[in-house]
Amino acid sequence: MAHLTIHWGVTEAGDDPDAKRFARVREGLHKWFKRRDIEFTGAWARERPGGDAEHCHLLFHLPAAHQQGPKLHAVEAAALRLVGLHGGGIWGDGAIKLVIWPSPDGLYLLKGGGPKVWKQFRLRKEHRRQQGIIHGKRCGTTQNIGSAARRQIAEAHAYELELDERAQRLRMEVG
Amino acid sequence: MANYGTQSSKPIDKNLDVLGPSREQNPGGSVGAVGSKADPLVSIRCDPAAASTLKPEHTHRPRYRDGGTRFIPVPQAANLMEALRFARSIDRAPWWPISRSTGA
Repeated sequence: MAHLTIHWGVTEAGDDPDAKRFARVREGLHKWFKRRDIEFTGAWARERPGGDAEHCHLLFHLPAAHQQGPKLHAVEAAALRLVGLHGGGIWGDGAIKLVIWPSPDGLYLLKGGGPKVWKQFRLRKEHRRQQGIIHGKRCGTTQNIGSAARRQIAEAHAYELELDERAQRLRMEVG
Repeated sequence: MANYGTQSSKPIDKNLDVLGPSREQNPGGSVGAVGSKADPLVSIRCDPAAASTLKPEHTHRPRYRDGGTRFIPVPQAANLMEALRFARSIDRAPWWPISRSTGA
């Protein structure tokens, strides 16, 4: 998995208060991965600690072949290009940060969850800090692992199991 | 060559399933009129005055809080964690697209 952090304060736009820029970056990444036959799958969260410019975290699936070397640099370059494109340009360092994690638990995305979420999901104490006021959706996932997709896949899986059971029963009756 | 009962005397080697850039006018009939045998197309006319009196069934309602939010709600956090757990569980399933993606 890869963890991409985008700091909108380093872009010419300065901020992304309505998350439209971030949505376009996600859409661009989706297209970039699709062209390489990779399903873009991930979860994201928006934060604005201390009332500064907003920054976003995007945790997404990255195939093993892309987790090192020139392919990883290509992913980083694509993300930087998209942030520059939708942020109106980049004027400083640190606009994006891409880190590879072997098997992240995703709890870092819940930093902005508040006391109830921190307690329920047992977040580390160093992460338990308020992440500011956000307008619009604070966190989300790609559609392919969203609640509707999960429900559909679970139903399809249950149906397959049922078909297998029926086939097995028929085989026993015939045998 | 058989005419198959068509009104025009043109040969039938023309593909009638495909409309050309300009459709031929029938000088005798009213094009687009309801019940016209010459052209079976029906034109529907909307009265803009009547359309403007229609009211939407649902009034516009903002989707998110005007003042913004301070925290991620517990249901959203649970959905996020469930989605990530789901992604991890199916990562190695052969029928799931992300496990097939080689990135070649």
